[in-house]
Amino acid sequence: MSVDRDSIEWLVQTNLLHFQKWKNVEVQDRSLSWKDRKIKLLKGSPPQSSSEDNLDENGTIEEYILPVSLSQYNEQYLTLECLDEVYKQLCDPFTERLLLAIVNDDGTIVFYYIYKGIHGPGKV
Amino acid sequence: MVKKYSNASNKRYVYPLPVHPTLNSNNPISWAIYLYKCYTNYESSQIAISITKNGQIMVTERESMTYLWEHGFFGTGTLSRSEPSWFSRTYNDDSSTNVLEAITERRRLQRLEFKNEREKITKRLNELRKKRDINSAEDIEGIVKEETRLLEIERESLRNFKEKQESLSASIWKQKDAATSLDIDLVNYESLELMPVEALFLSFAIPVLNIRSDDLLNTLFHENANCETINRFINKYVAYHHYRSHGWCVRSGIKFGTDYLLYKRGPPFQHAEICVMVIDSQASNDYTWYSTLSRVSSGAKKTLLLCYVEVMLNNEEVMELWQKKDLTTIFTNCKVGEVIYRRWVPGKNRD
Repeated sequence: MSVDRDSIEWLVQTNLLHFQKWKNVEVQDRSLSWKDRKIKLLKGSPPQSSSEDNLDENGTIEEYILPVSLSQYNEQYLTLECLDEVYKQLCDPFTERLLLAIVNDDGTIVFYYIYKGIHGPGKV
Repeated sequence: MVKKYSNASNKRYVYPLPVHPTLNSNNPISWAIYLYKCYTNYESSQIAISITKNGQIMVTERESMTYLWEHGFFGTGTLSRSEPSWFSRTYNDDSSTNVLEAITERRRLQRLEFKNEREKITKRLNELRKKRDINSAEDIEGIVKEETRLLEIERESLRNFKEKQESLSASIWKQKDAATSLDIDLVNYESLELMPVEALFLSFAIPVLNIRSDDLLNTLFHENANCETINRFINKYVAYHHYRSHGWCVRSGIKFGTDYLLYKRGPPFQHAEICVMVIDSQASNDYTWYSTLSRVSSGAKKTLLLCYVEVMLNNEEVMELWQKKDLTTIFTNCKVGEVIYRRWVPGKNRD
């Protein structure tokens, strides 16, 4: 499937593949309509595991990535209800966390993990 | 600390803004050239930008990307931390070994190596301590010796680690000039992205982009953009313009949760000293909001500056001027007030 090169999905995909050196980063087909936009997730594997990662049997981790864009003057749309729908409709049922990719309007992308509720501490 | 940057950096970043004053007070011919350039707007219409449908302002030509970075650190490489260095990093030309990303990577590896080493020693020490509890007095002497030896190894590896990290810092400044000849066949996935305020600055204050400021704003904002959105943008721009005109290098503060970061000269020279949050002059937030900002900024050893922008026009006037794109009138009716907000711990620091 070709990705629109203007979309934030494409920006996040390119950033993860070519800057953060992730592997197999793909835009998912499933989408969720929310207010006047269509939310799509990406899925991919980071190059090395951080301490709190749970590896699967093949030793790889797959993360869901939720791309959002942030501009200095527009209001944002992400709410708890919206996140709930994203978890319900776009993720596997056992998904514990999402990687929020905030596309800033200065060309940087910052990443935050969003967990479903409280999460035990990892190894320090 | 001040003199550590090399001549190469000083030479490369000699112009703080994309203007080249050629005025030489002893030479009347240079006055004529200068006036002619001002009159014909010689520098303008040089740099091509494109605006995506998400409103991202992109510069894709390699020369223009370098130009904007070298003349005041405008824009951010979409695949880099700040300077658009993806191309040289990826295709490994000479200059790539010293770009910021490569240095951070080496630091990270050294830290990892040190941590692994430390973990091994800690494990061994714990084993010894357990033995000590169950063993008789004669054996204890040997165990203590072994412990002392391990602790010495640990200290040694910490010393090595610190030395390595320091020598790495020193090597940053031996950077060569970036290679200029590059193979054109190679794909460049990276563009330089400009913040809307940067693009406005580079089309309104110092017109070097190939777009007029009114066209830029018409592309970025819907025709029926609401008053709040426009006011917010005006506030941000006024603050940006204010610090740029006072000689600061202004970049996005997204990584520290603020609007802007102020650098004395620019990212290659030193860390940003100040985090700026732009606030409407009427606004007042609860105190946890300020604490949040203040703690993050001070944690990164930066000063938090609250920049209050007051627009001395009512909303109708602003909207009318905005429709006409009379930016000069809007901006000249703005006032900037500043407050530094810093936590004070009574028991700790007494200033």
